[in-house]
Amino acid sequence: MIFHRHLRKAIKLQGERSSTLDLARGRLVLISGFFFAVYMVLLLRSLDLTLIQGRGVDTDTSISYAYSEPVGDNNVRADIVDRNNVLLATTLQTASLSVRPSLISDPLRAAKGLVEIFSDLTYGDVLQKLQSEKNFVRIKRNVLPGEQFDVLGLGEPGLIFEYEDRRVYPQGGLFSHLVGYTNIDTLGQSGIERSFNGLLAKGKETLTLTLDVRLQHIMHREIARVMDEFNALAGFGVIMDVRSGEVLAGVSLPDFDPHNPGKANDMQLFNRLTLGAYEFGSVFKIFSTAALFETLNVPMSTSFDVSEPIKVGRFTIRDYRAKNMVMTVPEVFMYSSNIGSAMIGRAVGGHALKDFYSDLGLLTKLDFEIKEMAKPKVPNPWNDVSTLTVSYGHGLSTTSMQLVSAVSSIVNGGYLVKPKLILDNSKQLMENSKNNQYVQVVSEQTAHRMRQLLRLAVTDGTGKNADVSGYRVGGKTGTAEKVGAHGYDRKRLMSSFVGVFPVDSPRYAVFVAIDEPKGHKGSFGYATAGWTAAPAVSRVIMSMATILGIKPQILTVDQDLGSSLKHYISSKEK
Amino acid sequence: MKKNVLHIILFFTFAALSGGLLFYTSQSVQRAEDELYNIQVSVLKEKEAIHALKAEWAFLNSPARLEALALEYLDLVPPDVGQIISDASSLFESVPVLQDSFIEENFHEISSSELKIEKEAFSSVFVTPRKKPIRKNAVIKKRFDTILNEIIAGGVE
Repeated sequence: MIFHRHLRKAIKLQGERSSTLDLARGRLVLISGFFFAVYMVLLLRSLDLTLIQGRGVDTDTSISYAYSEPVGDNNVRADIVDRNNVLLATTLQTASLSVRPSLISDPLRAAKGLVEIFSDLTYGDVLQKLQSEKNFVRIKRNVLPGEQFDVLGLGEPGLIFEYEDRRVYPQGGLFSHLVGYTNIDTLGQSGIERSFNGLLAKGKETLTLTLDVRLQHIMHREIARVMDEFNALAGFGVIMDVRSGEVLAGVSLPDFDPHNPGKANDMQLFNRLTLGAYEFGSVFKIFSTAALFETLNVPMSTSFDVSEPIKVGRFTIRDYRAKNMVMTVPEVFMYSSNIGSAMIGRAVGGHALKDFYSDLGLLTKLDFEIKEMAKPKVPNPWNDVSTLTVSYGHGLSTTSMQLVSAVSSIVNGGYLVKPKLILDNSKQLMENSKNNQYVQVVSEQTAHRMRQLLRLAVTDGTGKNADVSGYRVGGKTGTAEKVGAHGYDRKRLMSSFVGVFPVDSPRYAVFVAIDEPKGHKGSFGYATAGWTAAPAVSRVIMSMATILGIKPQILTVDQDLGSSLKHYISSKEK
Repeated sequence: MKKNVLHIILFFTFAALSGGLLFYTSQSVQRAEDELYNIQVSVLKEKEAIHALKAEWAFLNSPARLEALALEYLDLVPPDVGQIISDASSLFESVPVLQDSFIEENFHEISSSELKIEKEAFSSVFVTPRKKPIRKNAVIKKRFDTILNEIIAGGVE
């Protein structure tokens, strides 16, 4: 009871002062609640920072870069690949070593260590750089990962690594002229690297070329072999698809390492395929003979008296191996008679011949995907002597690319093809042929006659060494004397051979030229095209056939394309 | 009064809950972002590694190198054009083949004279052997279990 009374008193007491007390208590609760909340937030935040976000501080990637994307690989220079997607040029990141001399603690020790790691650095040079007054000095580019590890092991805070792009050519010097090279800032300096610099620098898409690394290797190997055998100055060659003008291989020797173009000499840097304009000699008889058929439409039996050398002014045209007789067109072609060809040129006429050469693109600078392109040297003025000499390929120098595309344009059925290096998969080729986009430079008939003549020159003429059983090679030799200080030099030759196969329905043109070959015992002292370039073309075709899986077709002598011309060849040679 | 306290309690509970939820959300976003960044970095590293490996692959497969290695270490030479033929049927004379079913069905019914005629018809293909092969020092192949038995019996050293 007593307890009850007390309680009632207390309640009564509370009841009297309730409003003031409640107010004070409410404020107290509010303030302490506020502080409680603030401290809770601080506590949680500190927990967050230390325990949750602090996990794995040892790995640098754990730092949160909210909203920041890692640097993409979009700005890396694009790759160049061949037609089968084999890598020809790519960009890799390499480290380069630099130094902040002010941060170097022990220059002597650091220099000693660096010289031990990099054998190509010299102690004095490095020491000088380490003690330099400059803020920042580069010591070495392209440091390998293993070397980088060793440098980090030196423990010098002043040695800094920077990462930069470097152009790498996995095929080495194989494509040094066509693909080209870049400078250390990965800017294209020659070849495709130069002419497509803008596109490659954007780095969006891989550039696919028409080249085939296997065929390129074959060409390289065979030219190197002939150069070695005949102790030649240089050699170059092209494989072209005669239907599309796609360049499947293009070699110019001597070549160089595109990783280190600075060490190459001018001889190596010179791209003979595009920058070299040469007089190719008898190979041009293909064009003058085609001009004869095309402009005058004469029969095969048309004959020329080649028994006497032609004299025009102070100029005398002689044959390499004189055959004192009256020759038909097939004979002129297969024996490669200069007199006969000059007569063919005269028959066609200077104007018509010049127009014909011009249609084939032999007189103007070739429009090609490689910028380094020589202008052909055209006789100016084009007089009567020029007409005679250009008929057998003298007095007019062209690039080999022009020559091969002109030959392709004749044998493929007569439509003009342009050499190209960038692979076009858009089926434009077929569309163009449908829409008659092609320019017909010679008629189908002339094309057929030329194929016959080319075959004859291989089966019975100067190009016998170029034949490959089952693959019906047609072609023409060309042995030109190079121009020396005093006119043509008999000892300095440019021996070339252009072959097409299979000749009845040509698919590939193979061209090889050897600059200044020297005859040896095995070739009986000869260094002419039949002994140098023709066997090389033959070997290239043999390897091509097995690699590309082209089936042979053995024909009897009568089935052969050149056989129908046999009766134009007189059996008696004086 | 009671209502007030209830309100306050409710308010703080709600605040704490939403604060917790916000904290949780921000944590998971941050964690996801970290993870994303790490993945992107590793993807990039992986891509660079693939890129370098591709370059190495192209280098190791360069035709000049492969040719040199093949000539040095393999007993193989590049194929010759003579080894390619356009038509496989031109290689061998085709041999007439008797169907199994035919032989089984007609085995007993073919008289020896018929067989002889058949053999004569294909005489250009089937050569009749005249002698048995002579084998000096011929090693007669033994079955493994007979050898084992011999060893057990002590017949073989």
